Amino acid sequence: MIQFQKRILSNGLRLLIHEDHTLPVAVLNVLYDVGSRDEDPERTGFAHLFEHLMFGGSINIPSYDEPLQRVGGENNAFTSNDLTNYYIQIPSINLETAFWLESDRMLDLAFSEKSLEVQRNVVVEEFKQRYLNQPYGDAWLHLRPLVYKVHPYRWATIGKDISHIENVKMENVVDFFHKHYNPLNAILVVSGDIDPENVLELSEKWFGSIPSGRKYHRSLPIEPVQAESRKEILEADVPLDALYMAFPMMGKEDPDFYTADLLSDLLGKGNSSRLYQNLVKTNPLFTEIHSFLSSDRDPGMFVLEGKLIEGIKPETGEKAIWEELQKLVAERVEEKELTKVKNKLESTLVYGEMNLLDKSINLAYFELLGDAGKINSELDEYLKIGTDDIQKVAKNLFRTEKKNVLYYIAK
Amino acid sequence: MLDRITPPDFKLIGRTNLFRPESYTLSNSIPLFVFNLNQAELIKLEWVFKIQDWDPTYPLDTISAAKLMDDGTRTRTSASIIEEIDFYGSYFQIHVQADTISLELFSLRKYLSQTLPIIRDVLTEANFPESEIEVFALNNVQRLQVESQKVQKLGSKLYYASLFGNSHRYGYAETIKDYKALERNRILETYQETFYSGNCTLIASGKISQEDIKTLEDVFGKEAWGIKPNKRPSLSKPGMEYPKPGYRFQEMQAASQSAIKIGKTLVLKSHPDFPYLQILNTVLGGYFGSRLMSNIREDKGYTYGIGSSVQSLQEAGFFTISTEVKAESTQDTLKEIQKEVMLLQTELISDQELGLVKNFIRGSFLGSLENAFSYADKFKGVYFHGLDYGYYDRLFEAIDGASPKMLRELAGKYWDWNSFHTIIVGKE
Repeated sequence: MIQFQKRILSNGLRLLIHEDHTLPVAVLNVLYDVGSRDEDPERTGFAHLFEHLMFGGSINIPSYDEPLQRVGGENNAFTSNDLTNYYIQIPSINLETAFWLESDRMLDLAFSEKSLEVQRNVVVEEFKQRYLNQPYGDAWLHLRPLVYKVHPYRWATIGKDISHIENVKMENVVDFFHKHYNPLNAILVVSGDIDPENVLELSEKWFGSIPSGRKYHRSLPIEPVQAESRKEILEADVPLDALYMAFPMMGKEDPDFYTADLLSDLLGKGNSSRLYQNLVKTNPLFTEIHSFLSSDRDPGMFVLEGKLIEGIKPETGEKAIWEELQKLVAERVEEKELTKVKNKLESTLVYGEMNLLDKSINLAYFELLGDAGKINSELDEYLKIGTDDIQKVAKNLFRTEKKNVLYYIAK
Repeated sequence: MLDRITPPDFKLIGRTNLFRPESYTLSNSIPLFVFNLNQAELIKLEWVFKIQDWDPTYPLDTISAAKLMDDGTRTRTSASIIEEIDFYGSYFQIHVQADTISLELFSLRKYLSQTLPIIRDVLTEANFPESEIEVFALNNVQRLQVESQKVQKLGSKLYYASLFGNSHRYGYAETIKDYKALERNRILETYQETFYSGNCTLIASGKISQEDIKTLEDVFGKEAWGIKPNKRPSLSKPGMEYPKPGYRFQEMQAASQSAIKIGKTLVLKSHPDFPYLQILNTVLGGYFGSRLMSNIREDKGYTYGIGSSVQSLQEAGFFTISTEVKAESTQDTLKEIQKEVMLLQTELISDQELGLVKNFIRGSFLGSLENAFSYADKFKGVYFHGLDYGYYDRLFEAIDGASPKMLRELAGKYWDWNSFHTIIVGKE
């Protein structure tokens, strides 16, 4: 059970406070309700590049990192399709430094040309390091546009193409900041070894006077229901063939989301899962195989990916996976198998509660979804799922006409 | 009007007291260290075994014995082992490190008495079915094929081989041929020589009651188990060689980035200079604001990240600078790295910068302590090096006492550019 208080400052900034006195450490986490789905299709990768620019100095503070390191703090940030999250972990005696830094960059940035130029280069190198200079690294850059035809999930957070990042202009940066970075679009979480009264005072002092800004209302194109299966064959200089399969699925807020999550666990998470036991061990076709969810707010993807044993045709691998999926459609899973994935989830959730930073980020995320309190009912949501629910969701997901397949073939 | 320009006052971060374990000895002499922090209903257990012997003729026997021991026992199949462990919501992993092998189990407390007998079975009754060895070999062969296209992986392999030589386990680079040559009886023999009660240390962390300790005694502590080898373990190989420093380049035509590894062997953790080297290293490449990051990433934009580290294994310490950079900027990056290393040998670090680094290290030490598991990690960080908590006293004394002059001398003593190995994979 994670206890917390919620307040809304007069400028609309949502504030969550959570006490945990295990260690003399505090976390200050700011989540902005903007991700790569909010980008202009001609300027993809922008939200993530912008995250880098948030470290290039703010209106009153030329360097963000230096004063934080000086008081013993550490920070980082990440961008996803749906959100951008910034966090600081700091000895609790120096918590005010975190307020000072984080509020100033919500107020306004320094917008330095040098920072823009350097971070464009850094992000291009990140693009290469993670996606281009790795075998299979660009698979997702192909899978997304196969599954999505109109919704912005069709490009990856890093961007569709390096040139989009190279062409970013300062005016784009300024516009983006004013559109998305303000108290109305943000959630502040302060947690750890803190005094709630003191946190309230500090929040008013540092964040309270920031102008509200305008609430950003998104209206994103809705992905049409997929009516026939799709396949793409990609040849590249890789040592082995790989197979990717994706089915469109419900968004994070749909009641069936948790069921799909358990379905993916029992199908392809870990070495006792069906895919691993049947297709790696008993009847070896793959050397590795996994399934997982993209876990997006808008309708997401149920993904399966595997590397084929040398000499096994992708068609053979695809057929074997398909048969595993159809077993879940045709037959109910045994109660024991479902209990297994529920037990695993329980220990994962208990483990997550032992980490202050994880708790803080999760609180912010559940608040973004509408109610931070739901963090405490997550386990119950999973536990009430029955074997009939699993079968029902499998039936809805694993349909021939909703299949998207990518063969990644060794040249 | 709020003053947003002047930083708020801050306090120096004090010394963090480490939570120390209660120590027990089970009836069969296994040492048990318990970190009971009474947080969540979760317990982490680690069975740690020293690597007893390593033979370059059969380089993968140890890792195979470790990785395959949970793939079948006399009474359980591979599938039923993982099925049972997963059923109780536990997470079980076998880690093979440079000097030790550890079996790591996370279990909900309520299921501890169900999960422990499975681990006992794996530790004492593994039977290494041929079919499992085949799958293991094949999966690893394919993993190596994929890694052969990753500049970072290739760079690491060449680097460790350069530092420690191919005839020492620290430097040995596994090959596809090695996986094809695995033999069941040798793996079984290595298993027996490694996993016996006399070679086991047990570490428990999380929420642990006296009853849990009794359960551990009942399952693992009553009598000696495993077969103690007759031959004496030969941990320190006389053949351990430190090849001559030099420059090695491996071309990858298609690479858009080059991996760079630079470094050398260095003193052990027990050496008085070691904590000071940690501080010096932090200045160079040990944090986001380090000189290498500020120069190569934040000024030049050549890379997504660059860092350096000072580490110690049981038989050797080493210093490493590591990055992946824009292929066209490889030479320029080398030049800049050399410049930064030389600067530390010739110029004094300013009090301003050193003060920041010291406070950063104090804060980050504090930040690395999250829960009972982190305290256990701090313990392992000294215990398996033959050290005690006095090491952390020396570390904090070094943080308080290190002066710009001492660090400049240290850089001169250990960081002679000509003593470094340089590895480039990608483009020159």
